[in-house]
Amino acid sequence: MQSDAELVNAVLEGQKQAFAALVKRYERPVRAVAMDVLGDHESVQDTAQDAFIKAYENLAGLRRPEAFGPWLMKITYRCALNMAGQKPKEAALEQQDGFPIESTDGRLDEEKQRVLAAVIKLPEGEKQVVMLRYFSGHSVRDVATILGRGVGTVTKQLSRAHKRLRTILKESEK
Amino acid sequence: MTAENNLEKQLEDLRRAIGSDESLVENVMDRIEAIPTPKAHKVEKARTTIIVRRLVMNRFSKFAAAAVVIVAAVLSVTFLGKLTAPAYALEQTIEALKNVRYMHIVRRGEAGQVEDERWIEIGPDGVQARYRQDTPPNFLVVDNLENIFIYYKDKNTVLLYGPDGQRYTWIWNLGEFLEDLAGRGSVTIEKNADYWGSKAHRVRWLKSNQDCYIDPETKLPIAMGAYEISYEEPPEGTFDIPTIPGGVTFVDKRPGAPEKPEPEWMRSGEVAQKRFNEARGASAKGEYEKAVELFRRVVEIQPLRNWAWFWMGRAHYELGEHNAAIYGFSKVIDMFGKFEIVPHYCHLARGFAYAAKGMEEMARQDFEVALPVMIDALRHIEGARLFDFADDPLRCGDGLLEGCHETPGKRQSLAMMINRLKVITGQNFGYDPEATAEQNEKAIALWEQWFNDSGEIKFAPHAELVAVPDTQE
Repeated sequence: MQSDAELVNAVLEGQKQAFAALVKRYERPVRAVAMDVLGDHESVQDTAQDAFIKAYENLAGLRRPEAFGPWLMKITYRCALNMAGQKPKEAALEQQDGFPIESTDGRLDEEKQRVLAAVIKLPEGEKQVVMLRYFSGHSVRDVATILGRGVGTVTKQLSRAHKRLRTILKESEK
Repeated sequence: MTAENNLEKQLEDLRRAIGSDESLVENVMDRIEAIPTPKAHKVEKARTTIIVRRLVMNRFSKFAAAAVVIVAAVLSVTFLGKLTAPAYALEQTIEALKNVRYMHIVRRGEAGQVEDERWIEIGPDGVQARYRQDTPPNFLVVDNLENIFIYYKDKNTVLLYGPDGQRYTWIWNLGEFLEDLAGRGSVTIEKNADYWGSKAHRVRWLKSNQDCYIDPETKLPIAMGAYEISYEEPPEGTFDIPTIPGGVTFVDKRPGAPEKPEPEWMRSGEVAQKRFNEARGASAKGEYEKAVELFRRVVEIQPLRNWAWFWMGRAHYELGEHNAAIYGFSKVIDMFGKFEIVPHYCHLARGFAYAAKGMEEMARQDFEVALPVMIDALRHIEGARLFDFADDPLRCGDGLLEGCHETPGKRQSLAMMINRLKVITGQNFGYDPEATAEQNEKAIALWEQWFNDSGEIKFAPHAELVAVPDTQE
């Protein structure tokens, strides 16, 4: 398992294939961020591709390779906003009016939207750990390696994130 | 099912629902095949040639001159005062700055694109000579000392001034940074800090908590806040006055040019300033509804007037309109986020608004951003300046001249900061504003330890506060 920083440096040294590992690693976190903005799978797919391409094109501008994850999330968020601007107005109206969103049409149901929104609200460090652990399915040890942090740090961050998520979810019920 | 298991199940359900796209890796790799491999960019080293030029001095250029001279002096004071290591870095920084001819200042967006770019030519006396600022898509300024060309692209208007026109410079970051450091010198230094994977000396600007980084090799500042600084020679023609584009409104302000009325939007700036000052007065008098209305009219004209948004938020807060308050504070936080600046005072204010709404977790997140800086300000009181400014709309600065309140003295600032800390932490750890710095160091350390260990917020809006001295000292 290579860290993000090692993979980014490998890409910058000309090993394009190293980027595939980053795409695989961050596919679900990227989809999660895009879904939080867009709400449906179809647009998410295009956004995810665009975000990774944009990240690749601008990789030389990333000054801290170990910060690849949060940087990619910001790019994704921007791409998703752009995509949202291109969506037909009916979709936006539907959400604004508070119609229940069914999960059968490729969108998240209300409960999952609420959990996703809570994850997105986490502080950057905790969000990344939660996404890599739960969305990408990495072990705690692997998450530590990916981020170049200690296992203890990641465990502590996960524990804090759990506590925070429960509180946010409780508050969002109000 | 326990709460822990339930949360894990919710996350697992979400993971499944988010799904995955099996062809994503393949599609991305296909697309990047056609894109050249990205290359890490290198910062060019400073050139050391010197120009001799007679300069037109005015308020702005004098300030810029001071800036470059002061950076050397201040860094010297700071390094000598704060580090036990030899002062070699300082002396070399001073020498290196004397030899700087050009500064290239760039701020990039999240995807690496240039959002703001400036070229500054420095004269032998450290004074700004020629200048160019390109802030797409709205703004282009070229100052070649004989003419100042300003193209407001969003207003489709070009203004052309003679040599006595308004000069532009990099005052916002460099100037204020240096003025602050020169006046107080109370900055923290970290040698060989990490700067995007490289080693650099870090200097913290306490007033707004921005970091400045010094290249250990060239001894020159290489970054300040969100701006990268390099010292290469600009491309030919950088300081040439551009041709006036066709179809724009052209306002010739050079001496002898026929008088022409200024466009309406330029006059609106004066109106905004007047309303802004009135609004500050209304806030200070407790006329919050009037203040909200006046601040609202300011941001309609000047949507980036951060203090108008902030104090409008404060006025809403005082009226019990917490959602509107949170909106105003969030505007400021977002506005500064683009520049990698954290307005800690604004996180504190938003934390109060969340707390008043009973949204404790959100309040806690904001307080956690502000707290380390607030605790540190007990040692370096300069770090409290923006909190003090935020608390008093009539404080001098940001355009209000008549009847404004002077910056509080150190003891006043300390007392106000202790009170803020007491309200959001419910603690004071025996800190006594009358005691010596050494005696209080223990209390500050305990505060820090409390924050690092648990940091359980005990919001105590009715905490017993210490008295703020009436006089500055």
